[in-house]
Amino acid sequence: MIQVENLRFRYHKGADDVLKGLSFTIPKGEIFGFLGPSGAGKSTAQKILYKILKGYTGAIKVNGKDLQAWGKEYHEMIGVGFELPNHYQKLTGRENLTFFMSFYARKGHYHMEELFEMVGLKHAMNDAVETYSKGMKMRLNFIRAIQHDPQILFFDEPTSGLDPINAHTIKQLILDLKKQGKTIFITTHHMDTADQLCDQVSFIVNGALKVTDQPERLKKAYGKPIVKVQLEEGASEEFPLPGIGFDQGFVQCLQRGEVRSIQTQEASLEEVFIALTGESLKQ
Amino acid sequence: MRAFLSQLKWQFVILAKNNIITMSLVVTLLYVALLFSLGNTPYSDQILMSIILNDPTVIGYFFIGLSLFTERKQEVLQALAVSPIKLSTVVAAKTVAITSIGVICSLGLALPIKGFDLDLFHFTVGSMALCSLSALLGLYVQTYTSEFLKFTMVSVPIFLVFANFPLLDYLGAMDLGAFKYLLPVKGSMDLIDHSLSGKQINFWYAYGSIIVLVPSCYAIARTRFHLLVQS
Repeated sequence: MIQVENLRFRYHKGADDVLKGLSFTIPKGEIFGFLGPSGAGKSTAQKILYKILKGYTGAIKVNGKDLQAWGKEYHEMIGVGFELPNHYQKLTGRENLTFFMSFYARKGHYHMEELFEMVGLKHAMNDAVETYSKGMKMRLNFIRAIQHDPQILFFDEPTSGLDPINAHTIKQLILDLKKQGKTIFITTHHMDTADQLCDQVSFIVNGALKVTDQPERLKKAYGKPIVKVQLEEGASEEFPLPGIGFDQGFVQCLQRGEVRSIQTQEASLEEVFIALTGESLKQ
Repeated sequence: MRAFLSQLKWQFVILAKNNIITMSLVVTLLYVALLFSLGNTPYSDQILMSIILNDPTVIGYFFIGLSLFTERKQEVLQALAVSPIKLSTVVAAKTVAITSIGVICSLGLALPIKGFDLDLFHFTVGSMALCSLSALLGLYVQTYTSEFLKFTMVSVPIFLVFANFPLLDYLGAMDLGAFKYLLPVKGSMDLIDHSLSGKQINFWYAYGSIIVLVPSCYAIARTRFHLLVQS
């Protein structure tokens, strides 16, 4: 469990706060999405949670213990999947994982082959990483993050650079990790990824959190409670969602011609983000 | 200790895979060939000394710089930062690995020329200190530069003071007077000089300077490495 209370940070004395009082809680076994445009403070917040940036104010508790009170054992407990590939290019995939695994006292419960198999890299595990494509390197990032079986996982853009099939595999693996009780913190620009994976999302803009809630509730709150019917002939009509089954206009519309589509008009997460922050994530 | 030994093993693997060991050996072989081609000259000890001062310092300074530059380019340092490995262990393992290569190369230079007609113990200690000081300096300087070209350019004046001034003083081309005792490699050079030529030296100074300088430089390089990794 991660509890963050009024987190503030500035890089230099006299500079403006990069983080302006962030507060959020991630219960054990939940996936938390941190969404915001570039420069919003996501990386800074992440670095603080990785315990590599000090000098913040506010309180951070991880599994009930103050973050500052954790020693190096904290890094035994967390796994980090970075946004960009970061491996020793001349080493093989297997050597990279073995090298990083050698840092941990507690050995994971995965076999090396099993890890590579999970992300479809078994055929390349003995190849130098410099021969991997970006997508393969990203998958290697992912298995390096989970190989020591950490309790808490941080993934920065976990589906970045992946084709739809591999992106689906990674998302499925993240959901499997959640089922195992892992607490997962995801940073992403991909609203679909956040929507599919996260139990809670937070929108961060200019170092401040605009909202933290479940994606479903946000979409509901910021969407229109209407149903839009599109007919083959081109006409479309909207009807209020409450009591739709008794809406005579709706029934008549359906009878009037071939229906092309019927859609509820709930907001997408991106629309919610724009409505709340006045900014787009695609920056 | 276990973590250090494991790191050391991997540092050798990484150096080998990046061809740094091969490059070091090739450079040493070229120097050996040069020494043999010169044959017996009245200045053979001075020439050997000059080459021995150059080879391990270049290996230590530039190859650790190249190794760190490669890691920075591949962005692996951030992955180290979020792992339980102590960065002080990483710095120690890097330094010991590159120093071992430097010592092997300097022995590879001295033994074919002098045979066992040299004080092996003092030579090895001098060479180890020379190489580790160069490596720690190289690591320190590299943390300030993001490109290898910049690193080599910044290194020209640094290397001049670090390795060339003491050499020029040793060869008698310039007289640094008492200032030479402030040069970090003076103690190591004295030990190597003594082991090659039997020249009397002040062992208290030589060992004292090594005992003070190597841990101090390690502490400074470790702090810089720490700042770099966590930036």
